Amino acid sequence: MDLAFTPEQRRFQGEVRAFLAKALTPELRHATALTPGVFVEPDIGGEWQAILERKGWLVYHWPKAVGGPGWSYVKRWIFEKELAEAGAPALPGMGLKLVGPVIAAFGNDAQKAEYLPKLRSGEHFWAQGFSEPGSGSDLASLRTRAVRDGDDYLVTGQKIWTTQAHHANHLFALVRTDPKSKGRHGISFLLIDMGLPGVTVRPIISASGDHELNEVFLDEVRVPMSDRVGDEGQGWKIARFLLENERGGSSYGPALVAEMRRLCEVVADWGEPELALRAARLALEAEALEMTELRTVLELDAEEPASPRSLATKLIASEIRQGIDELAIDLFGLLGVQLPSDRPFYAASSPPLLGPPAAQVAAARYMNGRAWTIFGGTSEIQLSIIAKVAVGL
Amino acid sequence: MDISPNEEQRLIGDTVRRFFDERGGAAVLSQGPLPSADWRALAQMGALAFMLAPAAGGLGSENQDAMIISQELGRSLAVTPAIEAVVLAAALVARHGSAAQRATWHAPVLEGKKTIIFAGNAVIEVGDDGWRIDGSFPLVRFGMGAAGYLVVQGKTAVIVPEEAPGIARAPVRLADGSIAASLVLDGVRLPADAGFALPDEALDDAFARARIALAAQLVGAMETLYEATIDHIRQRNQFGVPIASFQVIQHRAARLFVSLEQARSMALKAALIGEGGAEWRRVAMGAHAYVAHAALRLAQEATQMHGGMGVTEEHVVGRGHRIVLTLSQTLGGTVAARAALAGPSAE
Repeated sequence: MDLAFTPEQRRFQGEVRAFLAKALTPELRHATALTPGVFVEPDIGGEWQAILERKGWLVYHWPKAVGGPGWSYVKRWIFEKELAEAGAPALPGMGLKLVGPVIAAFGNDAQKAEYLPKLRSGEHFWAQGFSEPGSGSDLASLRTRAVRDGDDYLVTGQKIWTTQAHHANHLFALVRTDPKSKGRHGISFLLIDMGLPGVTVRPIISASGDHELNEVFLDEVRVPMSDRVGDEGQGWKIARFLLENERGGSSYGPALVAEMRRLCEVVADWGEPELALRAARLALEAEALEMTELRTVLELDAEEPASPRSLATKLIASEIRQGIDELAIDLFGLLGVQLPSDRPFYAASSPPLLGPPAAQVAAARYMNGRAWTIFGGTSEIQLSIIAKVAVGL
Repeated sequence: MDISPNEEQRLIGDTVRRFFDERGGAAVLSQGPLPSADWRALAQMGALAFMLAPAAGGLGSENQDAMIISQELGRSLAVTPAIEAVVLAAALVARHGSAAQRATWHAPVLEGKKTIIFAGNAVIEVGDDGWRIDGSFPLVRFGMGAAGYLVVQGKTAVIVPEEAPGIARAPVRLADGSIAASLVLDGVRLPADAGFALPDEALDDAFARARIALAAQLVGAMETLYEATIDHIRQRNQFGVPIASFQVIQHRAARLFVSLEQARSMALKAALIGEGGAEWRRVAMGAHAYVAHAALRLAQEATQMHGGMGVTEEHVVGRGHRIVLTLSQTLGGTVAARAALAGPSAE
């Protein structure tokens, strides 16, 4: 047993580092550091996406059949780790990590040909239309309906918490195609062009002051049936695949470890013993998470079934994230609760922020970070799933 | 990168597990210190020798086999001086002592015939006729049964046989049932050949290996307490249903699963990364700090979820909790380890 990289892995790690040293500009890194939420603004994310696509590393996790490079899970993990440690921006995830793999797995040839290249080029920017005002944790209760009309569906309903829908030109949505159904049956997966008549996007401003979230109103939007992915009624199965894809082979750990390393230095400078101990504890939790994820990565490469421990990583990461945010607040005191209203923080027109970088975004990150235990499956839902699947209760 | 035990390692783990299962497993072994006859039998099986690398006179790989064996020790809730006597003290003698010292204080320890325990820092003076040792050690774990003690000052280590004049010791029973010694060395005189030199970092490295073994042992104990708890909540009925059907219980059980996996990750990482150097020692310290803390929390939850039975002497959970309590304070304890990681501002 050992944790050493092979020579090939070490060479690849070096290659990624060399690439990042040249391609990850100070501007990109700075913008990322001053972005409170998970997703950067499209100008930053789009620029980074184009850089990675030029390098051939954008769709590193896609199946080979749709253009993925065929990397092992360890290689993907090394890649993600280096990007996280370098402070690279998150990529527009809805397209690349969610709907892209869905179309690859469940789409027909026409859909793959139409949508995948434009996703990669950035021409299509995707938002996720899942949650509704009445359907959050209980997503299967969703009510947006898609009624057949000739070769189209007329889609009516409301989606909520749609991240970056105000930037998106395409929406993938779960809709109810069987009007008599309730629950997970009778749901289908549609790709909706947001430029179609009947689509209205309304902003939701977060308590952090960021505009990330939106409501999307759909009023008899005419969506061709050819934009349905998979069969009618297959939507829930596709959603399960998507959510598992979101969770499987996660790599929250490296970014948190890197962040804790930086924060521990700041804490050491400020010389607060209680905070030093809290920081040490958080750093250990992040280190444990990184190893927990690596264990799953190695299992996947050995073609063993992924252990149910992979169900726990988002829960753990979200609590570390919130622990870090709160530590920063306690560390910086009043300096850490500055919260100008201009966004983005790094824009030239925005007023300068005070103190070290961690202090500048502390309040915004703290408030934004409260969503971590809520989105992508609340912690309560995660615990119920872990109890059922991992513990076996 | 490969984190699966090989065939031989699986065999070692299975053999040790079977050894303890044949003696009643955790329910029996948690009741008190492992009887000497069983300790000797464990040694004769080679289990102690496999806890040390060849450089320390053992048969095992660096830290990995110690992890596997320690984990089984933990699962069985056996109370043994494996870490203090074998991984720490005997290994130091093997790596840095003379051939004569190894013959007296290493080989017989690995054969389970006697133990030598690391006591700590003493005032060590050297004269023409040998050493003069003065020191006071309030609690030396497994000290009462020890045939000898290892004391250090700076780069000097001295082996103090228990029969040397000037030693006063009194028994102190610890929560896990083991008998520690309150030890005073008052002008103990020993010949020159009782000492040996400690290279730089030798003591730090020895403690790192001990921490790695301890983390693994605690993970094993966590497994046993976790499994007992899940069994219990499935079987225990109240209000007409198993208590495992209550959401609060389900969520707390889920957290135990998460905690166990995270602890396992830390123990595994510490045992598998390449030995030597400050980063390795930091990882070992981190694994100790993390796992000791997590194990005690899990023991608390296990007790809680067992209701009244969790606080009895009769039930393995109560005894297991006491064992984890004791282990969480050995080698300086989880708080000291975390403070060491936090750095100067935390001390």
